[in-house]
Amino acid sequence: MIWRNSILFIAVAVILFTGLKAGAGNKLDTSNKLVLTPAEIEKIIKHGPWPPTRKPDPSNRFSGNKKAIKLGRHLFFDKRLSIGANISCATCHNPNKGWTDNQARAKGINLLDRNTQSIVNARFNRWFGWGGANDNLWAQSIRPILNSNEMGGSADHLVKLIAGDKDLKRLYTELSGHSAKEQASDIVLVNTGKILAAFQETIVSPKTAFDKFRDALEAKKIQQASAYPEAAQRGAAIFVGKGQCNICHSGPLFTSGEFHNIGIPYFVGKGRVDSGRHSGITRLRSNPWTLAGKYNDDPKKSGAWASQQVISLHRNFGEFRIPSLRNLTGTAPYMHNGSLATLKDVVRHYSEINLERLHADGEQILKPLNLSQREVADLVAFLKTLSLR
Amino acid sequence: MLIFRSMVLVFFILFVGIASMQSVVACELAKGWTRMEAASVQKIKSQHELSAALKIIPKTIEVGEPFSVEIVLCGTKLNGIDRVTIDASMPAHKHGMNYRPVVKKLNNNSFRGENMLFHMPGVWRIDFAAFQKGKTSRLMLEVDVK
Repeated sequence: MIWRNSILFIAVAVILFTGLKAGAGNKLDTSNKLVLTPAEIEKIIKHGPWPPTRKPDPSNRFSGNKKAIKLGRHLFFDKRLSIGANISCATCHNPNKGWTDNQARAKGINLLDRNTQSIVNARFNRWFGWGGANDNLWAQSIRPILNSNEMGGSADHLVKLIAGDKDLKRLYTELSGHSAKEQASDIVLVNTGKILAAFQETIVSPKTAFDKFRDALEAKKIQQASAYPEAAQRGAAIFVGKGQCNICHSGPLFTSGEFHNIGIPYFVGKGRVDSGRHSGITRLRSNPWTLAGKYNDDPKKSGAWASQQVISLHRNFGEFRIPSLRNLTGTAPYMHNGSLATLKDVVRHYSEINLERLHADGEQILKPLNLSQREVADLVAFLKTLSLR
Repeated sequence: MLIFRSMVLVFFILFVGIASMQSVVACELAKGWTRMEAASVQKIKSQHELSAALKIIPKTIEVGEPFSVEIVLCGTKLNGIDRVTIDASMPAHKHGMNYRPVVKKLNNNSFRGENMLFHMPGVWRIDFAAFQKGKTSRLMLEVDVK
């Protein structure tokens, strides 16, 4: 009996050793269908874990406050925030459309120049909007309320709304300690932005098939990792290898949070251009609601360094914020002007990118990837696993 | 007499040699510190015999996350430094950082560059320049950010 057990033990050891040896080779493509090299796996692990730790925003006195979240949710869907009482935040950030509007260009009171960005995972951003004209979520929430092409509201309009509605008046007073009528209108405006931000902070995308794959790789659970589709694995290999997509779409959020010119046209009409980051920095310089300003509730002013130390460069002209790739499938069309209808179109754009559209003094990173049809499909398969549907 | 004069000359040369070696004190590197190199890759000749050690805070640079560097100059020729700069670039991609770090003087021979941010993985070059009485010393350190 002991003899038979010994034989069994040796057999198991040999099988395990053989398996480990196969795993240590250049490719892990064995019967377990894991088709990635150790170097690729190391890079893929860098895209997690997900979600990151959620810390309250120290610049927002209402961050994490349950009452503020409840009121923020109500205000987010309340069309009375707009001057015509016909447009709410949710008009463009529709939860049934990936918190976007699925339109190429957003439409508020008038048609805008840019595509609506999703607010999913917005709490993790350093910059907000395609041009990064805001450095915090509550300031970004104020912007569309005041913009005459979006909601066309004002601080005074908000004071009237909140003071004139029994429920809003009670909830606002409970939160801020004063009624809206007792406060200066700029404070009511900023508090409204902060209450809206408290709600938006709760919108974080869940773990996806990619995250389960990535976690299994990190834990060296090869069999579990092998459940991830092979096409998506090949796509991931392109993403961190030949495509070098991870240079800009880095980390757990799949973005460095910075800005880039990727050759998407920025002409928006006769004689008009959208200069992207260039105008974002210009607007930032005169923005009263940055983390460096007086409305920041954080006595340490942490995070204020970014708006104070950001450099305005010639290459910023035509750069737009690198979006997160999480939760992508429900947010088509893509790019700052919504000019690409599908993920396949986006991948093809990088495959056939026209270098003449890029600045001569810009970052020299992009080149046509010349992907085969199968590679395009693989990359799309990978990108789809960053979303739940 | 000739032997005596030769010995004096040898001792003198040794003395001068040792003295000049001591005039640029080598950085004694504590844990977490790395020696910076003369920025020869840019073909900028260092006009001062300056060496320095650099420490990255926190220890690991994460893409897209701010970090600081502390730079300690080693050597005796430290009096009269008018100004220092700390910057970084990515030679392969021909771009620098999107932020200008704030440089603070910690004491006579050490400086801190605050809120540097590398927005891409790859090889970055940290540059340090000390301006002293119209002369410039440049040092660099390459770091591979994963």
